Parts: sequence; structure tokens; C-alpha cells
Amino acid sequence: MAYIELNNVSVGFGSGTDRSEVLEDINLHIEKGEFIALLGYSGTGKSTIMNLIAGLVFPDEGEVIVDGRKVTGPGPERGLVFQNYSLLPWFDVYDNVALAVDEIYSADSETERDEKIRTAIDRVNLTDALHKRPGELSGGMRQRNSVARTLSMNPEVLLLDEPLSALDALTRSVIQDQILGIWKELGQTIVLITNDVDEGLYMADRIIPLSVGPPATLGPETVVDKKRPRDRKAITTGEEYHKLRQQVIDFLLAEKEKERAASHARPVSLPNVRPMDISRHRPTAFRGQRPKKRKEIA
Amino acid sequence: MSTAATPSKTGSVSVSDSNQKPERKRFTYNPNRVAHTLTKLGLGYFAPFARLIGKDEPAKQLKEIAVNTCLPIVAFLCFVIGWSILARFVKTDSVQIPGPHQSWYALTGTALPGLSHPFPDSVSGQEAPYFADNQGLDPKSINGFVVAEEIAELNYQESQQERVDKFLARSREAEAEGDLEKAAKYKKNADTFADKTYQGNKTFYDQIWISLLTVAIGFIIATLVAVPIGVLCGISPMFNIALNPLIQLFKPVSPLAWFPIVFVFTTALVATPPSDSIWQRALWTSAGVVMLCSLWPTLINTAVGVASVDKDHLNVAKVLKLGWFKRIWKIVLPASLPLIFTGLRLSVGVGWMVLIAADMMAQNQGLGKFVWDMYQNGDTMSTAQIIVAVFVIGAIGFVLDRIMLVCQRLVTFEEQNI
Repeated sequence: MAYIELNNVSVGFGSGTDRSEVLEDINLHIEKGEFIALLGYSGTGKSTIMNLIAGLVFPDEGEVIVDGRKVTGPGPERGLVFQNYSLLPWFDVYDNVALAVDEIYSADSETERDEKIRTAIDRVNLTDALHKRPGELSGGMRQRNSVARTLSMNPEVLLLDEPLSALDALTRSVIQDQILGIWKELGQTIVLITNDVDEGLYMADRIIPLSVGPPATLGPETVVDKKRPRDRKAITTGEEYHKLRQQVIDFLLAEKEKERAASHARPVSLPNVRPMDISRHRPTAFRGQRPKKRKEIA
Repeated sequence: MSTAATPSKTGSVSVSDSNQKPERKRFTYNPNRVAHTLTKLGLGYFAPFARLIGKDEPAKQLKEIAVNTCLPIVAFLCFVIGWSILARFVKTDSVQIPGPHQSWYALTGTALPGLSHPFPDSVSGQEAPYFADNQGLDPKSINGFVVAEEIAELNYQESQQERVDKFLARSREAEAEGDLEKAAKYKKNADTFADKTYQGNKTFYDQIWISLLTVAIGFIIATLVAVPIGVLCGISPMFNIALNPLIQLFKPVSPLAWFPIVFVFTTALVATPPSDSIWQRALWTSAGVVMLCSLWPTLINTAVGVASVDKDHLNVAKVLKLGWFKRIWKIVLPASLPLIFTGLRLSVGVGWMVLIAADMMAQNQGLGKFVWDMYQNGDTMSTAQIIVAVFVIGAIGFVLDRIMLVCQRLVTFEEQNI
């Protein structure tokens, strides 16, 4: 039995005629300590899978099992890092982390909690900005603060919902390495949502693409069995990654093609007109005539 | 970890220390900082002046001042001229709409230099003061009014003391004659006079303070009622659906309609206070009316603010499994503070506006009563004082609004929507 299991999960939103299926027949098994990347076009339901594991959304059919127990709600053992950071702007870096620590380790003494908060912040190298509010932080620092808040709960599972997609390429690679460092050190199970194939190749053990929905299903997985630490340069230029990347991209492109074909199924009739180059030929029909007034037309 | 944090902390302190040292030796005027502070305090209007003093782009500042200062001044002057012209045409048998000069006289008690006396027919002003010891001020002007009310109170107490002394003397006489019964009667008379307090009007300045106190009481009670109910409405759609008709029904009701109801409440609930106490029933009635009318903007804004808290922030609360109280206190309330304060700002405005009517009805010793009394006087000078009161009411309302604006800015984070 795998550590995280999604068995025949289907989810839809709305009801009655307004209902739309988002996910259909999702089967996903993740082993303990594994690093999984979910890849797909935006709007295909990646975040819904994340929310299913986090316990914020419940399946209409099928079941979500984490560590042998059915998911009935959010819990500190499954830490979710939100796409848009979700820091509270009225708290500084320390207090944003303290919000989590004070809640989950409420039994511990104040010094123990303080220690935990500072450890988590130090792990993402934010100690210098300890008392800055989110408004004073850059995008990368905010995301690190968000990661620190999740790490401080010491979760078994780290759910990263497109944590890096809003960052610039340089900051992104720095935080990628930080996440990998944390993973190496603490060995959580990580599920990462991304729309960047290279990010998946660099970080994950397995890449699982989502088909274009709705409703979306999981595509064929690509196992990245390369030794770590991986070489960025090899990923972008090397032969060995080329095949893997092609495999993922082929699936995604085929999906896009399918979607396009589906939308072409409905024929659209275009008016049979040819554009006229008025720089050379002035339209003769109206030459020498003033435009008619409304009264004259009627 | 703490060792890693301490150097950075001390580091930043030492940096700011070294920055401040030259400032301590020689005061340097930083126009930019002063301008920013002024803007933050809601006095952004004065920022160009601050920059001009610091010689920061003087040409640009002069241009800004020309637009932002000169235009309003020109408009105000146009208003004053139009006012003084139009005022001449509105006349009844007893009252004339006072012009700017008459209003100025009502405020200061002195005529503008170079102009003839604005009230030639009334008490002859500077030349023959109404009270000999009134510093030459017309007692009917506000400045004179302040002194006049004080003098009236002093006179009252003096005559009161005379009576007390008289009765005490008689009582002593009767005692000397051996008529103890008569002596006791005189003594009792003396006591009744000694117990009596001055029942006349308060001075204009006292009335301003009482008005502010009334609004403060009404506003605080309104906030204490509106914020919790608003939070409940925002959190629970059911609660909101249940209360919405009541809110919509009572929101547009005029303060004048609330007055009789509040009056019954205060009469039933507030014991008659001693007559020299400021906590009169009228004050509570007035505050109650203010409260009932200024409740709604805060309530509605709080409800909207709480209902529109960022979904992601609520998800954070869910993932962290925050308890109900912590969720409200640490996430929902801070997130909706800007809107709550918008509501509070509107409430203060409504409260101050309603207060004058409430004071008039309840005869609370505030600005409303001042206006009412002057209206009852019904002469031109009193009407001029009403105009002064109108300006004072407007100015205080403006200051209150600015104070609330600063509060609103303090609780709003620049990046509220991250």
C-alpha cells in the first residue's frame, strides 16, 4: 500500500445543469519520501488534486488515503504551500510562521516554539528579514516565508502548489535548490505542481502529466531515474534528458491537439470576402460621394 | 538560530545610529520626509509648502500651490462676495440674513478695521459695552457670549450668596431672641439657596466639548454594537439573511423619529442626575439618537469586509486548523479592518451630522442647543452667531473625518491583497 493513494477519484463543481466535472477517474499512488511533479496546462485541475490531498476538497467518487487513513480534513502532517503565498500582510515573517507553530505546538513552551520558528525561517535563509512584513519582501522572499510556515509544522507531506511560477528564472532556481536541500535533509514526501517540464526533470522522481479536461485524467507517467544532484546544464542540453522531456512534451502537445480538434468539430462558417488594399485602390464605389445622413437613408 | 538573528538586529540598529548622529549635531530639514509625514497624517495639502521650505523643486511646488491653494482661496472669496451681496436682499421685519462682516463681528466681537459697525442699531458695540467689565466686547458676540455666560453665572452666585447670608443673619438674630423655631426655618431657607446651582446656558466652548462628548459616547456604543453584529453577519450567511430586512428597514430612519423612542428609554433607565452634573438625561438621549443613526455604516461595512476576506487567507486558517476565536482575531478581523474603518469614518460623519438635530430635540447642552437658542432669539445678531456655529460645526466635522482617515490609513497595509 502506497503512502498517498487516490483511488478512482472524481470531482466536480456546481450542481444540476451548472455542474462541470473537473477530475475523472484519478488513480495516483505515491510512495513515502518520493518527489512527484504534476504537470499540466493551467485550468486542468492540478490544484484540485492538491486540495484533495490537503483535505480542502473532498472527492465525489473514490477515496483519498494518506498513511493508511482516509482524508477527512486538513491536518498539520500535510503542509500546503499556496500558489499566491497566502501570507498575512499584517504579520511579519516571524509572526506568519508563529501563527502555524503556536497552533500546532501549543503544548510546547514558548522558548521551544521560538526555537522551531527560527529554525524554519533559517532553513529558507530568511533570518535577515525576520521582522519584515510581506509588503516589504520580494516575491521570492514571500514564497520562502510561505515555505517556512509550512515547514515549521514539520509535515510528512509537502504539497507545493505552483510555488515558483510567479518568480523570475534566477530566483526560481535558487528556491528549487533550497527545496531540494530541505527534502534531502528531512525526507518528506513532496508533491509539486508545475507547468515547467524542466523544473519537473530537475526536481522530481516521477513526472505525471494531466490531460486537458474537463474532466481531466492523469497521463502516462515519466520516471526520472537520474542520480542527484542533477546537472541543470545536462537537463537543457544533454542527450539523456532529451528523451524524457520529449516523452512529456509529446503527451502534452497531443492533448492540446486533441482539444483543438474537438473545438474544430463545430464548423465555423467565415464570410466569403477578400481583404482590399486601400493604400493602392481607393474604394471606387464611394468616390466623390459624401456619406449619407441618417435622414436620407430612411 | 538566535545567534544568527542577533547580529543582524544589532547591525541594523548601529546603521541607523550612525545615520542619526549627524542629524543630532545639526538639524537638517528633510522636505521629502516632512511631506510624506504630512501626507500620511491626511494633511497632504500642506506637502508642497513643506517641500518649498526645503527648496525641493521650488518651481513645481509654486505651481502646485498656485493650483491647490490659490484656487480654493479664490473660490472662497467669490463665495464671501456673493454671500455679502445676496444677504442684503433677504430681510424680514425682525431679521436680516447676516453678511460676512456681521458674522465676523459675531465671532470676534469687533468690527473689521475700516468698515462701519455692522450692527449700528443694536447695542453700540465697542463704544458702549453692555457689561461694563466685559472688555469692550458685545455680549451677544460669541467671544462676548463666553464672557457673558461666565459673568452671568458669577452674578447669580453672588446674589445667591447674598440671600444665604441674609437668611443666616436672620437665623442668628432669631436665635439671639430665643425663637428657635424661627431660627431653624431661616436656617433651612439659607440651605435651600446654598444648594441651588446655576441653571443658565453653558458657554459656547463648553457646548462644543459637550457635543464632542455626546458624539463620542454615541459613536463608541454604536461601534461596540455594530462591529460584533457586523462580524456575525459577515461570517454567517444565515445570520445575514435573518438580519438584513431589519437593517434595511431601520437604516433610513431619521434621527427625529428615533428621538421620542430614545427619550422614553433614557427617562425609564437613567436616574435623574444632580443638576450640576454633565451626565444629564438629555445627553444620554442625544447620544442614543446619534448611536442609532451612526450604527448602520459600520455594521454594513463590517459585514461586507468580513464576508470578503481573501479565500486564501481562510484556507490558511483551515490548513492550520485555527480555532474559531483565533480565526476571527488573527485573520478575519485584521483582513477586514480597512473596511471596518471606512465604516467607522462614515459613522462619525453621520453621527456628527445627526448630533445637531438630536441636541435641538433633546435640549442637550451642545452645539444644537446653541443653534436652537439663537434661533429662538430671532434677531440678526443671533442669526450671525448661527452662521458662525455652522462654520464651527463644519470645521469640527472636517477634523473628525481627518482623524478617522488617518486611523483608516494606519490599519490598511500597502499590499492588502497579497
